[in-house]
Amino acid sequence: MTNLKDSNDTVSPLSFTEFPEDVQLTILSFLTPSEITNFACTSKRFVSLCQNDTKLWFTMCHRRWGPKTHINKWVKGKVTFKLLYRTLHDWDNLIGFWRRSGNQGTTTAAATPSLVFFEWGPSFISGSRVSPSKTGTYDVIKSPFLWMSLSSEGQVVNYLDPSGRVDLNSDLFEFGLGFGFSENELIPVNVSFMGKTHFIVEENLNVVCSSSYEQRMHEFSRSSSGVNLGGDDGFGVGENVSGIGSSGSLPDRVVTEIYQRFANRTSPGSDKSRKQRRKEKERLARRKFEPEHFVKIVNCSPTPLRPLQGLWKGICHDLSLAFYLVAYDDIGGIACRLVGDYPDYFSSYAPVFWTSKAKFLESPFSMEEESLYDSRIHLRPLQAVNEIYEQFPFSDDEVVNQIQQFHLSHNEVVHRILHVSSHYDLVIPELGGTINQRNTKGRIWQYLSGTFGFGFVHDNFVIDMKHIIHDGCILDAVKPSAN
Amino acid sequence: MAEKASPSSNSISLKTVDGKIFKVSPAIANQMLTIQPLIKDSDSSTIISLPDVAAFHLTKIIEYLEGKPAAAPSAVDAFEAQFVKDLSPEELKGLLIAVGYLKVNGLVDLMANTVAKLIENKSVEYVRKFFGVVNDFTPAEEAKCRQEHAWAFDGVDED
Repeated sequence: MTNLKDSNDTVSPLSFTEFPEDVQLTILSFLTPSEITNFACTSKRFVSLCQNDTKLWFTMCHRRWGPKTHINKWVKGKVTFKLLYRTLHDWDNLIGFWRRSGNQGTTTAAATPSLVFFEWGPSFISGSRVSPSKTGTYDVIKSPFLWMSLSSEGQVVNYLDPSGRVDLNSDLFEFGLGFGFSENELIPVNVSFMGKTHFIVEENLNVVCSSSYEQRMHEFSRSSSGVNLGGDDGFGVGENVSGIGSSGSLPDRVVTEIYQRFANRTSPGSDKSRKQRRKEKERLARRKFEPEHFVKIVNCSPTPLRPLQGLWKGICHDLSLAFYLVAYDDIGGIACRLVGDYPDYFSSYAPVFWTSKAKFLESPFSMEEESLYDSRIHLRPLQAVNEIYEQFPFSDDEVVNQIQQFHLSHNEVVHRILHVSSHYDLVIPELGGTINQRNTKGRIWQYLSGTFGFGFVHDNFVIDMKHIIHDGCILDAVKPSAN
Repeated sequence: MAEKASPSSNSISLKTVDGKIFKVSPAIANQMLTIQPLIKDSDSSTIISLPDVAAFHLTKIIEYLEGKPAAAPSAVDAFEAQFVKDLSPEELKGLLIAVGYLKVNGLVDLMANTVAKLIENKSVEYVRKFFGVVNDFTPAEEAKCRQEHAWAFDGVDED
């Protein structure tokens, strides 16, 4: 098969019009909107092709979101595929985990979980508040928080469920939507984006002045230029994101400043009349929901180069479930912190473990390392190992045999080991008398399965990390209990 | 051609526009959706002619269908990147037409995406030249068109 090349495909370029229409649309569907614009300006004929909603914009929507949602269910009434594309283009980035930034000092905010997870529905995007269950299992409580969709009028409609009780999976937007739907339970809200990693949810009191995206962007970049966005809370989740709002974790102070700037933008404080102020007060008094700010957790999942990265869940020492976030820094270090809502505000700011160099020890391991792991108890959900936990205390030597069996049966084969440190003993020296170097040392055991566990030299446990999401869905999700 | 005698009785014969005959297994032929209905009724003696497909293109299509790894997305990506690497823009376009005609599983998207990448971030003039588009705008109309189509996604950076 040597002279296979056709001689006929060298003379003049194959024209776009020689492609059948479905192929033309397939080519265009891989382009971005601005490239479509560009293409439209090549000739009159392609202007009309690029304006064809049911052909081109349907294909565009399908290419980008077809596998994730039901494109045809979104489109109804005045909703065109082009409008849908524009809308989803803005919302796409919501998918994933966000955490509430700051505690606005309200009781409602404090009472609800700070972690929110957005996912695709058939004709809407939904956000749920997620929190570890208190049952000592791997269950994750997922309660409805926010729905975002388009009305048949082509308007963005966002509803917030303050109680977290309305059934998220019902096709709310197909049957019940309209402004009459369970007004008692759902609150209409506005969702305003700032950059890619920050949004605000505010109650829509129908008096909210709308400002264009550009204005907001402009405001944001002005207000952020003077302050340090370095994320000095050390969460370090904001790396790898460029552009405005590149810090994944704005210090709360900054967020407040930015918000105040927004709140004041339409009426500079000095020439605000008393009447306006009173109106504003009345408006605020009617509010059922205090604005909440959310910051994206950008690196939620492990990658080949960062196998430990992301959000994990594990049973911690008090046998309750907790969420952990492992973040890499740019110079090869990692830090793990608890994510979520803890009585002590600052507890989540100290790392659970950290290392400045994520360099694994490969097998075969030294005797010392082997024995350090082999004698440990894996902290597990209560039901699964009830019989063992009933035999407190753990330190008892005679339990070891049982533990060994337990350990082997679960077949957590250690693939690589990483040395880590914990901060706790350095922070509270009075507990241990003198600071014992040994007390701060720990290990990460990465298993063949790809997940890992960690523990410290001074105790006898392994906290195993489990995935929170799989294929865009929360694993072990349960509804909030009725009470 | 390399295939002198039919190796197995149930192979399918495909005849390209330039008169070359290819014998392929039903498993391969079945992935060309356009000829799928014809395969059921054919035996080893029938020859299916493909008026829109040149031998060069069919060779590439068979190379793709036979070589594509079954599992591991990363292996598929590497294979596909290698597959399109050495094709010239004109070869890509010609192959896309053939692939579009035969409706080859997976290959339409790959080829269309590869062609689309060639006009990513290119000027209107470049795209015209690339696709042989005749400019039928007057300068005034064209300026207007460019202005009107600035609708898209104000301030959003494209990814």
